[in-house]
Amino acid sequence: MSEEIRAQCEQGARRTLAQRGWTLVQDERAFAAEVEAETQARLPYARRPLEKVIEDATINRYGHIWYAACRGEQGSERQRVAFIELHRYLYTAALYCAGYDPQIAEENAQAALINVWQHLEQVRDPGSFARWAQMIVINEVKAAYRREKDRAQTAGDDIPIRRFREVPVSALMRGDDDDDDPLASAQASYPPPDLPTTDEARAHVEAAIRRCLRSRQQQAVIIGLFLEERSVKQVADQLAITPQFVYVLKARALKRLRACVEFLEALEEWM
Amino acid sequence: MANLYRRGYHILLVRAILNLPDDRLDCITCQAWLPGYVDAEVAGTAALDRYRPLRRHLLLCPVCSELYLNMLHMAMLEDQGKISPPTACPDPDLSFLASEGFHE
Repeated sequence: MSEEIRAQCEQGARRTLAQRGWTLVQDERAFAAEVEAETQARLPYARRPLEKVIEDATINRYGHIWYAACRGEQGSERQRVAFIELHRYLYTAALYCAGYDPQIAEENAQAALINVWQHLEQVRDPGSFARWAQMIVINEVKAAYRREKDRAQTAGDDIPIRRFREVPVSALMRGDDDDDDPLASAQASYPPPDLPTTDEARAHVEAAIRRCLRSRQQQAVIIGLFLEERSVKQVADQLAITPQFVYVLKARALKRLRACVEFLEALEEWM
Repeated sequence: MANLYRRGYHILLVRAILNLPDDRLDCITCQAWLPGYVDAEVAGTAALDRYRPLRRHLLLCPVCSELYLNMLHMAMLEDQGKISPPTACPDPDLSFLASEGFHE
């Protein structure tokens, strides 16, 4: 790695930590070296600007430090700082999920913090520790709204029920559908792909999908997800739509395919 | 359709067509690996083979896919700097750190 990239890693790591208010790094030089190594490992795969790859690498390496600090000596100052930083992160996420209701956010960030502490052993990938904790706070906020809804229904209240901030409608609907119808051990032993065994068989199924689905976006979603085994985000990026809308298109397409005899016959022939 | 059930139950597309659940990965395992997968999606490294079982599960499980979409949405907003940090953050209650043996 060139000196120039090394310098970019150092600067990028410092900037990311400062922006997020993350203070647990004790040896800046060693941390920068870790970020460099992580960046180098990611560069062959990541289709992102170098600046973003460095940011991803910094967040990943900091996740390891953060997780270790949370699991560190019980009651130590370092552990306290780690949980204060985590609470700030969770509170921000909870605020968003709760539509910026500070009371709901405060209650659920605190509940999530305790939940995180109780289940630290379940973290599979310390590099994604922050994301794991965020998953917990999302679940806490959703559960809180569910309880509120149940209580209101039991009591027969007429008061409006607040709801978890789902993926917004604007995000869901970005993009147009031209259809008129509105893990480590498991992975090691994972069987080979379910793709058609020959190009001819695959082409046959693909042709049937294209004939049964009028919407080009639905065709691309089904072929991308199921025949090419691409990720939802890859398909979303290809079609310039959101991942949420990919799921909407997938549901519509599967509904159509279930009713399409030609497709079902092609599927049977393939097998 | 009978042949689809008999011979093709293991194929992802057939399972989706027949509304069958994933028979290879359970929700607990999926959700344990989900944070790493979401980070990998945002970082553009999720195409790696290691995530194949997870991708399959997310295409078949409505519960995990709902959680996944919410996480991915937040991760993308974060990545784009669109989740505004709060102007003020309440102090957390860290009294639980003083107790011993609370871990499961």
